[in-house]
Amino acid sequence: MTRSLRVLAIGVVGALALAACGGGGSSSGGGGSNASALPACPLSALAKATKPVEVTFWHALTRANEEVLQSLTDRFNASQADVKVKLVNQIGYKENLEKFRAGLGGTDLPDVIQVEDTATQQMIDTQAILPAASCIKADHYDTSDYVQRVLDRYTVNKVLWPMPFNVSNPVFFYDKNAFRAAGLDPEKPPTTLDEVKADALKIKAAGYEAGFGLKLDPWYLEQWSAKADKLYVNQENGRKARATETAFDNATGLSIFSWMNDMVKSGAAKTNSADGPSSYDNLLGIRSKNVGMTIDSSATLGTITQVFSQGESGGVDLGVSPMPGPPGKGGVLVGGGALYIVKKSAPEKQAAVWKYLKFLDDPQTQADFAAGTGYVPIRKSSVALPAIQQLWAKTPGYKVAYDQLISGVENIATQGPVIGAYQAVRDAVLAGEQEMFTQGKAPAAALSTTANQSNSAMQEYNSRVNG
Amino acid sequence: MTFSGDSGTLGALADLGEADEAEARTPRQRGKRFGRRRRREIGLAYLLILPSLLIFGIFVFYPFFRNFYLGFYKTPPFPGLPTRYVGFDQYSNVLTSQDFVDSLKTTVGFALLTVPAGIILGLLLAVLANQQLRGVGIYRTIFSSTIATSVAVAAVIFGTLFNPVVGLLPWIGIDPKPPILDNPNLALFGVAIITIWQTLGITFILMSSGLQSIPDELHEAAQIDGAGPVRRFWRITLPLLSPTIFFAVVVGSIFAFQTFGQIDILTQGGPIKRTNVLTYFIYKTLRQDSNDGKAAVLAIALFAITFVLTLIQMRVLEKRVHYGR
Repeated sequence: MTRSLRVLAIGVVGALALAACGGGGSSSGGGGSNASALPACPLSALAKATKPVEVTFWHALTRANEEVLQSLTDRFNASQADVKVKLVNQIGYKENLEKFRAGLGGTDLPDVIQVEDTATQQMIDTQAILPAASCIKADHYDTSDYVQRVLDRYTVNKVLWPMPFNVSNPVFFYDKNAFRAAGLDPEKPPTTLDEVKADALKIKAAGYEAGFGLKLDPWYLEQWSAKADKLYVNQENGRKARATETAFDNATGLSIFSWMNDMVKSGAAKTNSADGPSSYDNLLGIRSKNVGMTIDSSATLGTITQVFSQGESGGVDLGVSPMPGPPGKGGVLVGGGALYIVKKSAPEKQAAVWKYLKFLDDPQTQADFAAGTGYVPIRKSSVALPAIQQLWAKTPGYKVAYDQLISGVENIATQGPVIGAYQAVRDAVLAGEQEMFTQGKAPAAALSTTANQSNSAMQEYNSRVNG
Repeated sequence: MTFSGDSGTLGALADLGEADEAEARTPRQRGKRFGRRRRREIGLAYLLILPSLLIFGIFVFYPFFRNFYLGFYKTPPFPGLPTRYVGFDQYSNVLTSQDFVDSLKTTVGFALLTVPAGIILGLLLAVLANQQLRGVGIYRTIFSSTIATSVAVAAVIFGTLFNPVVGLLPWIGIDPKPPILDNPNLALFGVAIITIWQTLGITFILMSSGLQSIPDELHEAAQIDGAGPVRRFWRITLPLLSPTIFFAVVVGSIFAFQTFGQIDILTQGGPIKRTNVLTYFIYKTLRQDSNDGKAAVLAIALFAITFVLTLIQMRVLEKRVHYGR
């Protein structure tokens, strides 16, 4: 019995090995991201197709934001008979990208997908995307009304890959009453990191647990590097060629790490995790008067304003101002999500998606979307529309986020980094910061460990893409 | 045997029966019929194991070998791009990397934190609940109740208890900075406490059943000889319970090596990878880095470890089981 089992097992193994070898082959790679070799945008396919053409949109917006997207999509579906868009909520950016990746090996794919700004390189690497630039060229679509930095953020090697859609950036939140209590001018919020430190110590001295709520979000290192007009990774922030090394291990990076370390060690700042249940503790800390100020995404403005206005004001007089940062002529980076046309869909569906995306980026749609969600409008002409004017009059904080986006120089530093292993680099940055705060590691050592870890993650990713 | 040796399953069954009788025959008699019978026997054996072999083949063996084979390849972050054969290089690179060594240490540390403590607590509760007292059933139910709790629920409950703002622990004064689950030096303990609590139910049940299988006569005899309760525990209960304890250690270790839910919900392997146990490392490599090849290597490593643990269990347990009655 044992012997016969063994014989059979060997047979099975042999067959499996053969089968496995058969499946080992793979397609050739090397999709160019060159402006001259763009794939064609099948615009004419929509006219020939039987109507309505139904397209599926995997998005990552939830709650109020999802409702706004739904109502805008309903408006689009009702406005014409050619295209019908079906929304599918994938809960989050991460989940959306994961499901898309799984679909690439099978058949379950959307026609258009919303992806976070950090995943641009990955989306290019799927080789499953029709660049928006193709359709812009084919349709003679005018992009001059777009906020320049938004287009730049998603342009790699001169090709605009997705259509920009929901944009946010970090702003400075502070309690004017805390400033008054500390003897500071409530209408003069800090503009540099050194001022933040000085003000934080004064607020702490006025009886607060800490002056500044420091959310441990690696995003800020990217933002502060851009604000200091410094590159984050090599190869022109990964836009000329694939980035192979980080560039933040420099004097600016060290000054940022040292500043954070001083803030935490002196008790001027109280940290909280950027993930999980405590990810809003920096903002809630302002509400409960534990801290006097913090930095967070402009996308939280709507929720924060709502929460702070519920019930008693709690003695908080919320102010919103531009994100303080290291000195430099740079500006904030574009955060948020963008929309990619899936090349694997039928030609008429690609053309239908293009029509829908033009609608979503239309100045009026953008104004309504921004008013309903708190995202920053990406069209310059949206700003003059009543929806935005009313919003800004009611909640001036929203204007801060828009103004930040059009101030500072437009160059590769403020375009921001394009990295394949983006999340792994963020993990390394977070680990470096935590080693500094909790393990007593010196800022310079923490920064160089962070850079080394990031580099090996980036190179690992690159080596796998290049086959 | 009443069946004649016809072809077909029934015949084969009959032959199988006769095979036992064959043992009693003389070597010469046996030799004459051996070849034909042996072949039939093998054919029947194949037929009988075929269904389970098919299921195991499709759902266990094929994925396993496929996984092993995947480890030879450097895989692209997205399907459809070229893969590159690197052979055992990937195995040696991944298994000697600092990340893997750290993760293995974390995993072993986690097992050392959870398994012994869980068994000692489970045994303690089982001994207490083994008394013949009125209402002891209520306690037995309470002690074993965590078996009905899912990992997700346990993680959320403890996550709330540990929370620095609304949590119970900070409220009673246990309030480290940074908070337990954000603290590189404490996070693994935090996750271990949850795991101990969560596995307490099953350990309690195991230990209770072990205790009940110890013959009362032994205790009575010892009592007559003048042995006190403590002495009886060390000299009778513990030795006779050793197979159960050993089983709990091995199974508990295997579970500890496969811990995932509480890590994913509460710490995501952090802070500074201090809770990056092997399963979470595999998950992150697969889902975040989309590195199928590397994840396959890690999965094989995890398999090898659990396989060795299982072997130890089978070898040692076979010798040590105490057949009480």
